[in-house]
Amino acid sequence: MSKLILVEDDEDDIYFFKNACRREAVEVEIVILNDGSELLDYIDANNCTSDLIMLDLNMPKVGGIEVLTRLKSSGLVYPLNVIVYTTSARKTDVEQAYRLGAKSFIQKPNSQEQLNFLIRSVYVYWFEFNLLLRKPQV
Amino acid sequence: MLMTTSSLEAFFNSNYMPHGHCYLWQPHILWSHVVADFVIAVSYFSLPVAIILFALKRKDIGENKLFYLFSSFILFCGITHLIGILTIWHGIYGIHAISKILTAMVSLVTAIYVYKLIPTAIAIPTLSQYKNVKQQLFLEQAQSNTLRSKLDDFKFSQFMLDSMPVGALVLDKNCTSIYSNKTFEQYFCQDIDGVAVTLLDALPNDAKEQLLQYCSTATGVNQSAFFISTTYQINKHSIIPIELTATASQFEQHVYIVVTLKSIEEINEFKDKLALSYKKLERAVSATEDGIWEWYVTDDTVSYSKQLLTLIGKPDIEQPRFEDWFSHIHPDYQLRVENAIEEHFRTKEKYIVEYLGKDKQGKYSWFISIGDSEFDHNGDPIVMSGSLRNINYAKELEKKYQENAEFLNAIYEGNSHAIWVLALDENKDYIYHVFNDTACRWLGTNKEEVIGKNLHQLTGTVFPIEIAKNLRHNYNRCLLGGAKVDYIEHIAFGEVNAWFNTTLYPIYDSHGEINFIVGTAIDITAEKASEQALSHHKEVLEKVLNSVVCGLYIFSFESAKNTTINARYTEILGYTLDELNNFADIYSLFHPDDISLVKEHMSAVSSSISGELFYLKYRFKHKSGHWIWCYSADRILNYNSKGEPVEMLGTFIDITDEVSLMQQLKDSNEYLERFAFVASHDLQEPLRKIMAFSEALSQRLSDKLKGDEDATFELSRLHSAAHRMQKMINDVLKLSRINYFSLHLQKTTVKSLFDVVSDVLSLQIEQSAASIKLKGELTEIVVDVSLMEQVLQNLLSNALKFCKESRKPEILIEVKTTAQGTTISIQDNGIGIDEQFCEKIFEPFKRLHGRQAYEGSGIGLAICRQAIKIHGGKISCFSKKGEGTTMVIELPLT
Repeated sequence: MSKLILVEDDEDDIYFFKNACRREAVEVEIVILNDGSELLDYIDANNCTSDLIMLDLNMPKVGGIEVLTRLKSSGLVYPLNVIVYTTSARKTDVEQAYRLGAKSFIQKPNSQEQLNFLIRSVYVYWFEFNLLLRKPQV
Repeated sequence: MLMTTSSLEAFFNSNYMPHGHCYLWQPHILWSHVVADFVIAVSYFSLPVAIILFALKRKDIGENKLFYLFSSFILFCGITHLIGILTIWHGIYGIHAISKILTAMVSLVTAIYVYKLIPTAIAIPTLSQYKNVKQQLFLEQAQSNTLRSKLDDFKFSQFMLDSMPVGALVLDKNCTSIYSNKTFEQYFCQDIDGVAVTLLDALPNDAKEQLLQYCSTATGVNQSAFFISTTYQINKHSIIPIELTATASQFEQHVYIVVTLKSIEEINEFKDKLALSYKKLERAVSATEDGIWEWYVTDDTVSYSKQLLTLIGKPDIEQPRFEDWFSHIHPDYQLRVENAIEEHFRTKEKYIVEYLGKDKQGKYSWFISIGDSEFDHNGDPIVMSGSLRNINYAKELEKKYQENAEFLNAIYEGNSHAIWVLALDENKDYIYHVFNDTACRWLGTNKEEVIGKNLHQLTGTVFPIEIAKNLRHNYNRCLLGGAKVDYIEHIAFGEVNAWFNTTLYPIYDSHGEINFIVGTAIDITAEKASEQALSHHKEVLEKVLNSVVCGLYIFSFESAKNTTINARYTEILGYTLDELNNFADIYSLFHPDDISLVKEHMSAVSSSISGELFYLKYRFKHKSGHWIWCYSADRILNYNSKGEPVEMLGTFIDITDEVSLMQQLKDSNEYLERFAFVASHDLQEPLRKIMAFSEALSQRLSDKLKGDEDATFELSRLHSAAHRMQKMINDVLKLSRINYFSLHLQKTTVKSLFDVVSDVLSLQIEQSAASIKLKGELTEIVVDVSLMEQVLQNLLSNALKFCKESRKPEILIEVKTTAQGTTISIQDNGIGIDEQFCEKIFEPFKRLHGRQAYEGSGIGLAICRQAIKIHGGKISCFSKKGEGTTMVIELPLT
């Protein structure tokens, strides 16, 4: 458990993301996948139910919406913790993402600083806080 | 004087000297002679009268010649004396002599005759002798009278016995017949084979023995009579029924039995006849529909026939009373009936009364009762009898007849029918026999002019020649055809100008020939006019239908086919009506993808109850095979009595071009949107990186850049340019998304929009310390809420932004309802703009102020205009530089 999986094709964004993780000292294994298809393969190969998946929508081969659609139809989406992480926050995209089982929808910040804040709060909420809640069960 | 003495003339000559001369005319002698002679003559003349009277009285003496002789002899003596008187004054001695001669002759004969009679006279008996004889004769006479009387008695008895209509016999104790009367002999005693029938032979054995028994034991004292009803063989062939009575009685110590035989054949026949006649009467009484009644007035009992009791609905009464009948009379008519009976008793005239009474069904019917009575010598009624009849049918008939007559009269006198009757005269011309007022009025004539005249006479006077010719032609059709003729005629002459629907009925006499023609006509001028108008309208309508831009069809639910299509239908879809109806299933012509929609639509239309319009877009196969987009408006044209739809009227237009244009538009819009999205998204991507890297760089180099103001400034310019670019891209993105297809209309109010917007702008409002007033904000509007929020936000934000530094912003938002729709105005007291720019400010990226003075992408008002435009509205700007701006949004009625 406790892997942070980023599904992102844009190298710049991966760079910013990694910067932020490093800056915020996220004590978690970071897995970077470059396409939706890679994520689907990864999910097939690993139990990802306790991992956090940050999913970009706009990707060259298999986009985020398609990934969610496939996961939903296979019944896997609900046990998975998927946060849509994308550039535009189009209303239709937001609605669709939640409908398809995304746990959250986060627009990519315009600056490193903002991104750092974001990563900090995501980490605190999804890993530290959630771990505390889950502990008795584990 | 001298005379010839020897002649006969001399003998009768009266010139002899009268005898008076002999008396010397001495009166005493003369008159003594005359008187004496006269007395003698008179006496002599009286004697024959006496003799004749005697002879007449005593006929037994007979017409004895002696009487005549004496009478003549005395008469002549008298005559001679009279002539002797005459001779005193006249010398008629000849005649005197002749009378003397005649007297002498008669005297002589008489004398001789008397002598001859002397012996006879001597033989006449004396009176005493006569008296003896007379005595003896008287005794004998008395005896003879007694005998004769007894004989008469006997003959009378015999006569009585013989004339009795019964056979009578007297028998002795051995039954031997001692006497029988003529009736018995003639009737009961005929021969059988030449032998006279005796009583005992003719009786049947049992009767014979009983009679013998009676006779042999008869004593004749205080004995009852023997009676038997039996038969009697009257001759060889016939046996008749008889009644035999035997009575024994004593006569002069002997016992005799008197037997009487009475044929009761006739009585039986009479009885039979009576019974027969009674039966006939019974039958007649029971066969008749009438009830028969008798009322014995004196003791107030009645006898009613069964039929009567049935008629009055009381067939079960055994012993009817007067009341039983009387109570069936309707109370209102009881007095009438009582009066009729009283009247009848008083006047003794036939009783006849009609009244309403209960019939056999217990309903009231009309009855007639007829009767008559027998009265005693005081004129009081003894018995009254008669019949009762239910005349309801007759009454009904009468009523119907009356009604019919009234109906006919009403029709005849009515204003709506012309009625006339034509009779045929000897020349086979038509005579107007009847011509009612309506006919007169319609043809502008009067009865006097027409009735009794024939068509020939009326031609050229009442009817113009041409009209009369037509009338005759039609009458001939009826007469020659022998049947009812119906036709519509137009009669126009003088002031008359009308259309008639005319009917002629031939009326046949008993020989089967037409003797009358009855004509009726109604004025259909108005109908004709409306018919013409209708046909004109129909023509117009047809032209209209065929020249309208829409295709039109009338679809019959029953046949599931179109019954009418217009020319435009054929133009649009290529089919004629026949071609269209050649398709067994009209649905096969709809596009497969639209069929379910069409069927849904059809069921909606056919279940509508008041002919509402239903609209549908669908594809229909053109005759040449391609699809035509149709836009139809359908409604039910008419419903049957059960409320089911009968026909559907549909109109449609060809929207193929529109649909394809719309599709193109949609496609192009989608393409544009996609392009805008992709462009802005893809444009933002590097922009974001520029911003992120520039920021990261400035942080990384922050220490190094501290002393380098130029580098810091340049980095900050880079930063703000990237920001502005991002905002512009976002706004362009927004603008691109505003289109008709995304419009989502909702009911809301300006107030609720404002609440949201003021929340968003709360910081700006607070900072500017603006006062915002609302007016009519609760007016309901139908808009796309998110778009209108955007519009309101943009405008309000502008109003706050372009304010004068010297004064606080005052903003008035006012909503007004006008005939054209709703107007929302946002008025500020800001810097205002030059009027010439009022239109230009809505163009994208149009800025009137430097970027430094006022922030903004330059696309906000373009978004507003686009948003209002897709609502069908308009946004305008009214402004005066330095005083403020009013933005006015006009939204149309929805």
